[in-house]
Parts: sequence; C-alpha cells; structure tokens
Amino acid sequence: MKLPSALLLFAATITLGLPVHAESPREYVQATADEVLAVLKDPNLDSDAKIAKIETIAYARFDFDTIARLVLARNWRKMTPEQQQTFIREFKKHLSVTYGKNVDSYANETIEITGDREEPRGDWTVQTKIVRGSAAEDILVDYRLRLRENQWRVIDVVVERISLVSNFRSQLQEIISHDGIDAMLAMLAEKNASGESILPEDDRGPS
Amino acid sequence: MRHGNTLLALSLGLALLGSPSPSSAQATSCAEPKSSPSADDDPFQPFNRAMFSVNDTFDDYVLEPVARGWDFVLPHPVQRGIGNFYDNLLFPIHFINNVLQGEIDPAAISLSRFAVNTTVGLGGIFDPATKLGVPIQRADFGQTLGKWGTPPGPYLVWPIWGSSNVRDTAGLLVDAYLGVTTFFVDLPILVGSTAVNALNTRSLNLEAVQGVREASLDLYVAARNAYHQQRLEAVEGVEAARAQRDEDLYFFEDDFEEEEAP
Repeated sequence: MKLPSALLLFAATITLGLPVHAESPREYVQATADEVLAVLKDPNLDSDAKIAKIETIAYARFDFDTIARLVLARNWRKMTPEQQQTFIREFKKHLSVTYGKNVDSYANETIEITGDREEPRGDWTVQTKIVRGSAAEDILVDYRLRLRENQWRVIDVVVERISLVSNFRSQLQEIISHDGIDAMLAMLAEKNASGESILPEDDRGPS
Repeated sequence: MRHGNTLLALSLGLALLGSPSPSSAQATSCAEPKSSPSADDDPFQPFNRAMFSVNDTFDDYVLEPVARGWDFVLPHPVQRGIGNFYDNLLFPIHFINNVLQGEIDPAAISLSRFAVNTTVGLGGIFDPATKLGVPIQRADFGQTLGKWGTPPGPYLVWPIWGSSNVRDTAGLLVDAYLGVTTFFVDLPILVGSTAVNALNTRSLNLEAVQGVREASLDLYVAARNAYHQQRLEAVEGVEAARAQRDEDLYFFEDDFEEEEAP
C-alpha cells in the first residue's frame, strides 16, 4: 500500500484502459490550494473579484453531479429529472457562494497536505491542515476525490471529523420528510437569492 | 452540589423516557446504514428545538455581541492564553478519563503536560508542551462511558451548553464533579470560569460559526449531525468512524447502481 500514487494510477489506467492522467489526487489538491491562496493573497483584487475567482475554482473542482446524488440519497430517485437538475444547479450555487464568502476573513493561513490514502471504489482522500498560526488552532480538512472523465474532483469534504455530505444529507432528509421535495427546492432557491452569487450564469462551468 | 443533583435527576428521568425509542427505530429501518437511525433518531426533537432556539437567541443577543467585544479588546494571543489556561485546569478530567479508558500513554502525557505547562507555561497560560510535540489529550466521561459500551441514547440540547445526548449528559455531570472536587472549588466558580472559557472559545470562532450558519439549510439538524459524527469518532476511534463514513457515503450509491443496471 506504500506504492507511489502515480504508479498506482498508472496501473489503474492500464487495467481500466483509461488514458494516463498526469496529476495525482495529492498534486491536484496542492494545485487547488495554491490557486486559492494566490487569489486570497492578491493585493490587486478587491473582495468581489476574489469571491468571483474562488467561486470559479469551486465550480471547476467539485463534482456537483455526484455530490447532489450523495446528499439526496434515497430522495434522488423520488425526484423528476427536472427537479434533479434544479437541485444540482441550486446546491452548486449554494456551496460556491458559501465557500466564496469568507475571503475577507483571510488572515495569512496556509494549507499543508498531511497525507493521502486510497478509498473504496478508486476514490482518494487527501488530508490537509489549515495552519492558522499561533493565534488559533489548526483546522483539519480532508477532501475525498473521485476520478471521472479523466479528472479528479471533490465529492466530499470532512472538516474536523464532520463529513459535509453526511451533514447535508441529514438536513435535506429532515426538510424533505416534513415539507416535501418542492418545498426543499424552493427553500434552497430562496436562500441563494438572499446571498446572491457574484458570477453571471454562463461563467459557472458545466454541471 | 444541589444544582448538580437536580440535573442528574432530570437526565436520569430523560434517560428512562428515552430508552424505548432506539429499539423501535432500529426495527423499522434495518436496511439503512448503521448510523442513520441513531444519527437521525430524535425523540426529544420538540424539546431540543426549543432549547436550540433559546441558545440561538442567546447567542444572537448576548454571546456573539459580547464575544465580538472580547475579540475587539483582546488580541488573539491573549485569547489563546486564556484558552490554554482553562485547558490546563481541565487536566484532572482528561487524566482520570484517560486512565478509566485504559489509555495509559495519553494519561501519562496529560500528567506531564500539566507539570510542564503549569511551571514553564506560567500557570498554564502558555502551552510549551504542544510546542514540544506533546499535544493535548482530551477525554471526557461521556466518552469513557461510550468506550465501556454505553450507547449514546437520544440527542439532547441543553441551555447554554448546547449539543449532548443522554450518555454525554451523565458524563458531563461526572466531569463537573471531578473538576469541582479536584480543585476544591465551588460550583458557581466552576460555572463562572466555564462561562469565561465559552465566551473566549466563541470569540476565537466568530467566522467559523458565521460560516456554518450561512451554509446550513436547517441549523438544528446540522448541529445534531455534526455532534453525532464527532462523538462517534471520539468514542469508536478514527478507524471505526472512517469505516462508518464510507458505509454511509457509499450505501446509497450501491442502491442506485442496482437500480440502474438491469
């Protein structure tokens, strides 16, 4: 199990007949972290420009189709294709807006990759640590990635032992079991409308 | 200790009330992944939601504004020092629970941390032990009970304290008792110092709390699920929690694949 991940990937691509992918999950997370930190540190960007850039990164680096199915669990199949598409669109917006919002509270934190490991089904977890310096405790953040269409993308984030997929799944289950799917979609849309996204519709990448 | 007894009686009463529910929940949803019934089973939800909204209101009108003031007045290193000081005071709780859990190394570490931080760390304000690579080894009696095989029981929300469950409530009372008896302090002093620590912690986490609020669709359920996940790892260990996460994450995917394949 101590094989370098690139070698494992290479072996996997041969057996599965997929094209060789250059980036390991670890490199992928490192590249994303560098990209995000570069935006946060850029003195020439104002808050809105930073938020827009971070949203763009989030849209590209998260596998929202998979995340949507994972958080809806059994409810996914109870939805019409139209409802499913609405959910993916709104949930994507919700996450990206939320992630983008904190740009102004950036206080020279750095991101350190502390390890990575293979998960079931070829998924990969990369463990990171947000180092906040002497003023605050570090925050542990694990990213679970999945290779789809020859591209690693995030399917779950575990912050200090809390899986966001599991957390959102509980919340959605509760809302749907009380108020139904349409009410849940309406609520999500309403929440998004109050914290409007910065990006115009067409810059939000493919769904 | 009159307050303590009242709370204990209350929690025992609740424990008795709550005991039939987990089994009935298990019977109806045996096909779900293991964590789902216990994670989302919530017989005291009306009470909990009421307490949660009390706490939320308290946070909005008192705790957060005061914490912002606290944060404005005190530089972060000072806040960190206060946090260290209280962590150091909790030493008997960490030490005794590690011993009770048979975690000998963490118990020994707790002891040496206390010795180092109380002396070199000037009464616990600084944390040289962590800088020497000996991080804090938190342990509590709820966790001890869990490791001894006590199930968590239903989720509970207490005023001010927040998220708990039946087992951890009993644990909290024992820990409070340990804290009081070890230093021969009065309960009001313990409660007061805990309040200062809570304020300080809130102040160190202003952005994080705000982020969670904005990201959540149902803040109560988000808090309940988060508490469940963190306690699962504290009690069952990293590996078991990881296995549980995998099971939870992939369970429904298998379902889809079976559904879509034929």
